[in-house]
Amino acid sequence: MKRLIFIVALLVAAAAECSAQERIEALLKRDMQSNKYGQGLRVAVKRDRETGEIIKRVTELTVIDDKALAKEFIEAFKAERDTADVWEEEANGKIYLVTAVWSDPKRIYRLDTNGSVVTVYEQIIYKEE
Amino acid sequence: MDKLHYIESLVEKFLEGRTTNAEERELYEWFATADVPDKWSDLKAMFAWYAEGMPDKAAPAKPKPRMTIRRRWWVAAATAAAACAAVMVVLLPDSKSESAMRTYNIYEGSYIVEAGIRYDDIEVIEDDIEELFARAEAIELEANELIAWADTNF
Repeated sequence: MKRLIFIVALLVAAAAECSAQERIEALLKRDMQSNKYGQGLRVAVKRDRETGEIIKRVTELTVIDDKALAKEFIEAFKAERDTADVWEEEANGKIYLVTAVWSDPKRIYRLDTNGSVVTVYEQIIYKEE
Repeated sequence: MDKLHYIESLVEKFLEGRTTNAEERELYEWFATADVPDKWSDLKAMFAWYAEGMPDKAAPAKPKPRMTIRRRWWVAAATAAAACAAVMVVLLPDSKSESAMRTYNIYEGSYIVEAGIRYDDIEVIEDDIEELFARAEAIELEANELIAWADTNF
């Protein structure tokens, strides 16, 4: 198995941090709102029981048989590679897996491409439990 | 964009579960203090409920047990047994409901879309939400390992 792992740890300026992962976010938001790819969307929100404030938000979008969209997400992830605090990438035949992490608040993004199935995963942690 | 349009966009974002905590606080404050249009009266009530920390309004007050005097002990025993059965019937579902309310509130704002249909009844989608959070936890653990590895090696 050919496995490529790239870990990038970068110190980024506050301004750069503001734009981190925004391409992925924009793409994800566009597809969520369009409802075009609504065959597999799950948004889970966890709130503080006392205050009602959001502790964590997890979004998972699954797209099947859409090469154009898969390509868009892969490009969006690759474009954000240099802004990520941590980046892991794995390619093996039809499988392409990326995990990217940004901090403050902690944001974890994962792109899982397996043949014609693309899963985009976003987790934003506002408060550690 | 005027204020109402701005608020409307925030409300849409809220209903999609995509608002930040700061934006949610802004919505709570605006709906509590502004001159809210009549068409948004339901939203006003909803945001007031959120702002109050989502109280369990459905939780019923528990009835106080009453003392009964009987001359014959078996009448008292039968009455007690009947009362216990009644209390079990009346209170158990409510207790369950109260417990469920507390659990469901923390997932408020979650939803899933399948085949173009949106489901946001927490009771219906609870298993999906918990499965997603379990996966999230596993991915977060992996991410933490990556962060620790990067901290050590860079």
